[in-house]
Amino acid sequence: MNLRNDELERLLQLVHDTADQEIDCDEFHARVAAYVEALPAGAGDGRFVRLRQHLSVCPECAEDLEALRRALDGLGGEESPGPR
Amino acid sequence: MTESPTPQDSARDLGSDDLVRLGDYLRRVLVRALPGRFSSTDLDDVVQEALARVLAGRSSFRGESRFSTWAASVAIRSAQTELRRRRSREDRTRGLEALDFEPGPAIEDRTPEPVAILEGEDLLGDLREAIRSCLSDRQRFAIMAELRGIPTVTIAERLGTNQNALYKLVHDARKRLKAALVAAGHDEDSISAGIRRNER
Repeated sequence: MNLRNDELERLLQLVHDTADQEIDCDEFHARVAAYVEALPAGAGDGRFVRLRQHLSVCPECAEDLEALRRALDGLGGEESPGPR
Repeated sequence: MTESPTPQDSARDLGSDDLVRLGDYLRRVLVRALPGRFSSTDLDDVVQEALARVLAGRSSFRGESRFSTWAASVAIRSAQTELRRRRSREDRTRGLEALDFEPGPAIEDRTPEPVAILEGEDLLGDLREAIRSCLSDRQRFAIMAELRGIPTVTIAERLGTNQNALYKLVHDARKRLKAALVAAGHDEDSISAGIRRNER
């Protein structure tokens, strides 16, 4: 298996950002809605430390978060039917 | 005394008009989240799938956010998974499959100990050697596939597993690599310095 140097460099960053305990993608998606709602206030109260760490090692979840932010910005606070 | 409904109870009580409005809302979410990614016909199918997932998963809604936001996140994940599967199919059709080796049969998968004899001088060289000596065949395959942009849903299918198990496999691999680099004398600061040098 031959990785190019740029691929090794990306892997090095991922290794650097690896934590001993990490949440998986299911847990990330269970909590991303709460995280995105907390972002305007900075989301820095310690509830989301593991979620932010997951973002640093999971490009797909990072893409999903950006897509969610785009959607919510575009909808301007519109809500769906369901519990408030 | 009547107890207040839980978020889960409320989510179950959606009437047919609510379902139509929820579907319309999810369509608006997906159009804004993933602009231009679906034809109008495809979008109908994707919205229906997203709506089904929201309804099927509503007992897991924890009430930590607005229901709207949670439903939007479920819909986006569903749509993104479909897009990633399509991308993999298209890549195979165009012969652009990036994977150039197979992981080998799981029954023969060996997991060497994480301590590798690394020289401790060349960070990337030591990382390359740690990949070779500290990871199982399945871990090397998964790491390489992710670095080459293969969607995790595809990698998991190739390995005959699910995405959560794949995440654990890759997490364990990253921990082994980190342990090997540290054992070779590359602590977090020196790894950070190495990343900054390579970025210049």
